[in-house]
Amino acid sequence: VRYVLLVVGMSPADEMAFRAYASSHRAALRRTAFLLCGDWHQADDLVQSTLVKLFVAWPRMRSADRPEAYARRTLVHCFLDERRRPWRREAPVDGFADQPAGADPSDLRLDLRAALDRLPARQRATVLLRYWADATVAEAADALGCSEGTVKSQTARALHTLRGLLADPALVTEESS
Amino acid sequence: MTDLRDRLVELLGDEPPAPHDIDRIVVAGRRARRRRNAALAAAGTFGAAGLTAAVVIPVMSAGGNEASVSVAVQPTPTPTPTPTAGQCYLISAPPQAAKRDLTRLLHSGKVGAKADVTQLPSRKHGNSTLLQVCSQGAAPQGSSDDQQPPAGPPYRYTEKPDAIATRLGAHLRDQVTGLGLDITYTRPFAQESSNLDKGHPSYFDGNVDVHEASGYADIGVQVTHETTEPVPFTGDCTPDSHCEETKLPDGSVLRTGQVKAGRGDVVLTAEVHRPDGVVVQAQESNYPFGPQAGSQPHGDQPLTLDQLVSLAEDPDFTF
Repeated sequence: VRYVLLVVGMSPADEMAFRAYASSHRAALRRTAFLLCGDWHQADDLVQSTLVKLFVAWPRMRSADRPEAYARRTLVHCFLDERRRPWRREAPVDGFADQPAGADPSDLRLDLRAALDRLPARQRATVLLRYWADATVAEAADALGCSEGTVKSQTARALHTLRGLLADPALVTEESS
Repeated sequence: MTDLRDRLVELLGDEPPAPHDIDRIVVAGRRARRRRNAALAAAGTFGAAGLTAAVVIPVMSAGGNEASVSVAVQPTPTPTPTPTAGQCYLISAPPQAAKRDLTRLLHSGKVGAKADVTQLPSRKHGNSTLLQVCSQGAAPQGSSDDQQPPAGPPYRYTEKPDAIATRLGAHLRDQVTGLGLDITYTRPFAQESSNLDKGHPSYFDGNVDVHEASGYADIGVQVTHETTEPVPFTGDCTPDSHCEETKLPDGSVLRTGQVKAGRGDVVLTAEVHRPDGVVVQAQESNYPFGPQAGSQPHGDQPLTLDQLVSLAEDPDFTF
């Protein structure tokens, strides 16, 4: 038996819409990707993979689908999949434990980056979805493929860990303040 | 009080210019769609082998309309309104779109006046429907499930995930120190995959850096279940690299391989697929991931291949 695959192609109008979306959203995706992985080159790879997948899915998106939700979900999955590669294991920033909390903004960056890197990948993704990408609990659950209860528990654990690692019990989120 | 979002913004202070060219993304997207077509065709072949669970619906065609089909077919190697003997079409789409594409196909006359339409089991997430549309008599008779991977028993956690992670981490440390290696950094085991609470087990992954005479290296273990999802083998099976698959006496399958990650970075992998569905990937790299990463010289591979295989075969790496 010979198979021929029937696939809906992308119309010129669809492609224009995709280009407009990608142009206007890639910067935001890239920043989220960087916060997830801590490396601009890897972030660029993640965004490239995400947008390519979005392109493939674009003609099939129902009007009710928000491309943002699909892109967010795809980005997170690309990130989590990459973490399975042993050569993608993260290296905490050197000197994290001894870094004094000073007034120099670069010191603060070092601390927070290192603290994020210490979080398990899923917890990091959860907390960034919630407090960077402004995803609701339901949206974060959709992106992570888990229940809203899991999002809440992962978020709580991540914030608890961050406060401890940053020695900043006053670290708050808009939601919690 | 410090706000998390404000501090995250500070991390972006050195943002370099974005390299993405939308044209390149579109070109890559078109390529990806072609690859996806090929993959879906393969999935349809597998699905056809398991037709016992599918519903077969004989459908009468309502006439031809070649123009309407040409919009939806991409690519069609031999477009012809004449039904081709032994030809099947696969439609993968959300239900409404699938119905529309099916109608167009039937109207095209490509599958003749009578066609067999079968909904195949789809392994994809989401609400995609996979339809197989065959000219009369062309539908594969699926009686063998040989090509289906074993589904494995349904998984039920018997320990809390945190307890599993703690136990696996302690065991890895014990094994590594038992080999006389000096651990300099531990990344605790954590539950990482995206299917935490949909009735699937997650995977657990942790690693330790070790110091040896020539520098720093790393040993990691990942434990998962094949019932969750196919486990990507991390060895690079190129002809000039060590890459083997061996059936073990207990029915397990052992794979070994290596990846050259660049700049002299080498990762060796030993992966054991056990009959109970547990998969253990043990990896060793000649470079560290912890605080010494990037600042200290590479070491040698800290374990012999036999030691790495023993780690992957260790029955205590399970959950």
